[in-house]
Amino acid sequence: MPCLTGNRRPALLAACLLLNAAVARTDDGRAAPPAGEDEQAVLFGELPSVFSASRHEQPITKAPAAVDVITSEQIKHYGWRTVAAMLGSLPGFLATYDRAYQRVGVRGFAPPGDYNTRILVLIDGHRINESLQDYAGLGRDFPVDVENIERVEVVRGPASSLYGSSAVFAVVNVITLRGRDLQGVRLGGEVASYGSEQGQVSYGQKFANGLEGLLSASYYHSDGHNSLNYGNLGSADWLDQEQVERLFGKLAWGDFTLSGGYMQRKKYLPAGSVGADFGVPGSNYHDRRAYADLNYRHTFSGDWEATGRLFWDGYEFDDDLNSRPAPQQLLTNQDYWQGNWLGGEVLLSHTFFDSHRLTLGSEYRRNYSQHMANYDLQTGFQWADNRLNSSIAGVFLQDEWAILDNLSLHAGARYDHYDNFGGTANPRLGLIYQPFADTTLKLLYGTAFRAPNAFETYYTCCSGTWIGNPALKPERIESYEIVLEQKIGEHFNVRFSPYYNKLSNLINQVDADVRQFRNQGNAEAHGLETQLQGHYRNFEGRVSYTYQQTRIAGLEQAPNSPSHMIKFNLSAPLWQDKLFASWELQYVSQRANPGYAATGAYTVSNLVLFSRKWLPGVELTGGIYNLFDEDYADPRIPPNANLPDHIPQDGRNLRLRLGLEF
Amino acid sequence: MNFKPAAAVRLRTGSSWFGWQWLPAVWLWLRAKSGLGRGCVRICLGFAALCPGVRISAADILVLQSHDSAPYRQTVQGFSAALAQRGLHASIETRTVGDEAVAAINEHLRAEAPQLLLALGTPAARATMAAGQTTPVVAGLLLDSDELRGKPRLTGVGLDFPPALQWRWLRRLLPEVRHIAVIYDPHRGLPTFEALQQLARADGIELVPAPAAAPEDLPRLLKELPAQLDALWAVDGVAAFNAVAVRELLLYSFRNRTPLIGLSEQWVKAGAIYALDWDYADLGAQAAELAWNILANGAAPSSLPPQTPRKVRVVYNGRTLEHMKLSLPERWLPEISEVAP
Repeated sequence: MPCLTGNRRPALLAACLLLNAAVARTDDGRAAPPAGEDEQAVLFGELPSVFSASRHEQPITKAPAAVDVITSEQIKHYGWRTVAAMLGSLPGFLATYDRAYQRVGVRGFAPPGDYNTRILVLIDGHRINESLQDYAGLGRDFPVDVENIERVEVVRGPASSLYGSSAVFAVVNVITLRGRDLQGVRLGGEVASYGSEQGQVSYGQKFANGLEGLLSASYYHSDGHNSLNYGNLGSADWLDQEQVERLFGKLAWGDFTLSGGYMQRKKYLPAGSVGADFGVPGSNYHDRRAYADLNYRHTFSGDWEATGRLFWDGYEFDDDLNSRPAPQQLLTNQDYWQGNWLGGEVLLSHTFFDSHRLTLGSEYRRNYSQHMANYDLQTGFQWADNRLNSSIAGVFLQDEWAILDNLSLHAGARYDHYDNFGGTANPRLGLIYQPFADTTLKLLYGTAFRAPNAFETYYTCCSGTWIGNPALKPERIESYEIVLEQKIGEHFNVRFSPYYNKLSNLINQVDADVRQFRNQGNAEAHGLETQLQGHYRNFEGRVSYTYQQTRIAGLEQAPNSPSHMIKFNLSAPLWQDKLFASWELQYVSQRANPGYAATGAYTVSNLVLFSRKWLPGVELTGGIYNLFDEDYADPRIPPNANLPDHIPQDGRNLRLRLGLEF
Repeated sequence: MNFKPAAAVRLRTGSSWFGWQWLPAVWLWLRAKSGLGRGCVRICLGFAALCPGVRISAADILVLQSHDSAPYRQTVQGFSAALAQRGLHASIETRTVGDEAVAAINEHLRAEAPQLLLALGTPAARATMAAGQTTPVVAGLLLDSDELRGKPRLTGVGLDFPPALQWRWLRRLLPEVRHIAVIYDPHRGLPTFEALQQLARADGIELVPAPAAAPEDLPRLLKELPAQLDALWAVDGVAAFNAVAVRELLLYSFRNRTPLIGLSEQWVKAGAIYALDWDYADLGAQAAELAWNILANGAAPSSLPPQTPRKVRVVYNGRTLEHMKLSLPERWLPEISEVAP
């Protein structure tokens, strides 16, 4: 690129130098050598400030996917209280709440009642989807406080070629804070509408000997809505309580990081549940999730990178499902589920012939305890007592081939072997082309799978009226996607992602003579996700439009799958970098609910004020959620004549949070 | 050594050398831009020099600079002010190397024959040496002091701070750090790294070598850095950086909350935690001393050992400190200055 230089144009010269450097950047983020011998330009020339860059730019990746990153700064500014809320702000994602669990659908596939089983959720690379139902809590039941999240990386599309089961529509990797991010104590207190309060205490430190640690504990309680109106069914009064306790820790020493967490959540069920009559108090779900993870990562000389991981996980669930077979008779049915598993993974990567980055990995998981029991409390009668164990082994290979400086091919495949159904292989191909410095085109193809889980495969209950199906095969998805990313000047990025997904062997519950899960569904989905992101100094925002059409065999319309979604986020400084106002708006079009009434379109917006630095270490957040008091609802599944079809969502509500670091 | 100074103007010291007859000449010098103007200035200066009873000195000096930016201008100002203080009034013509090719500079040197060349910045210094003239050269704003050695008609002032000084400030400002990755140029920075290594060992601190010869080395280098670093230190190896690479380095530092010790004030403005920067006017004054020795005392450049900066400006970024959750020991704050990002 020719540039004018001259002693009359120092600013222009500096700009040219920067521009040349930027243009000369290679595709993989390597900076091209400076032209000529002008070393002093790097000393005396203007350099772009890292403060703005760090908020908006991410490390250069050649991920063969459409990737979004949510930073801790955005979490503070927009006042998101759950990971589901964060994901819900992104194009293609839909967060719903049935007052039992937060559920997240993506790319037109959001069947109510799904436990986020088709999204792989990771914490620092550690799999969170549990071993009985593949459930991954993304609401208050997420194992880590949002205050302890450093960033959330969201990779769309099938990723079973790397991660195995559940990486069907997206992989969500939550990166947590490190000791160095706190360097002391942080106290947090929060009060919010519906009698909600939260307290948190955290301590993090990087010590002089290199040891780094973080320990955090929190408590949350909410009375919930005093009264929830469910139309003809009546109202649920004082049945919406929620209580959560969390403990999270991280210890790093050299190449080793030991992390772990414990979460327990009890949520009462204002809308009832299968086995819990509407309006009968005391019904609740009680989830506990624990994990420990030892991670090793080292880059050896000669560009050999090795990663190893050993992990242990536990999941425990019990519930009280209250019903009144007769007005004076209370029957409490209880589930007791427990899953424990451990395993390890190893990954080795190296660049061969200067252009092939090969990654070879292997994973093994042993579900040494899978227990699913059900009984009646009053009579002691046991309806179910399923005890099993199982193993999963997987091996994968991926090649990132830099064909040219601006053209690369990602090819990978993974083979997984399961005790119950055998093996499955899943490839992925991604061609990434950068015709211009600011333009990236990705052509992507991949398949992924969700293995039939223990509940679907083996759960037998209720005197033979509910039986398992060991013949279940994994759900499969075949996905085609084009991603076009264009940088517009210094401050804007735009992304277009048209996609086509074909799903087969969908696992559905069938209530015929007996209740059983069967592979009996196929689906097709196509759509377009567009997003414009911008940032200027302390302003940042994004606007996205999603169009999606999903067809599920046997259904006229796909459930809970809006055709249109518009999302808008804007954060603006009101006073230097001390006070920010952030506005979020989401429009979701009407959603069909086969078998009962459609859920209407809604537009919800939130306004959050976030301030810091007025006093040393003090942060104050005030938020008004559902600013215009939109009356809207989410569907619940399965429809049940005795239970509400639509779950009313929160009206206008407030939140105030005070954080203190010292 | 074949070098003979083309013109050595000996200064006759006196207490009242400045007189009215200089005013028009000085005015002309300040205003002169064209070759004709400079010629007039020289005539005036020559005429003034011949005036009976007036003790003066004058010299033609050509300044070649790599850029026309503030550090260069301050260095030239410091240079001419220091010469003026010594009573040597130089006719200084400034050219930016980017404006013309080496051949054109060569032609210019042949036609104008200045008595001394002040070359500022590596490209300018190399251009003057490539020009193949016999004019003595004083180089300044040079990153690699080795470039000043072994060249009979060249001396100058490097930008390298002595390792002991760099180490002293590191220990003063970041006394807690124990594991530091040091980025240096393997081709020329090894002695600096070894000197720092020695100092570190004495203090029980681990330095992790991070040799980088080109910007392409940085991604690998950053990937291979140990996870538990306390600081990242760019001591030289500027060859490994361009604006994009520096930003990648700063982003790494920012995201890992690993303070980056930078190479200059510009690095600190962009997000490095601190850097040893230069007093450019004093660098000019140091170059002026060398020029004085050549012009007034007839010293051969080869007899004048290259110098290191005698003054240091320590600059830090308060916002980065805040982000890194670090604080600098208060006792040193009066000696250092904060720069605004």
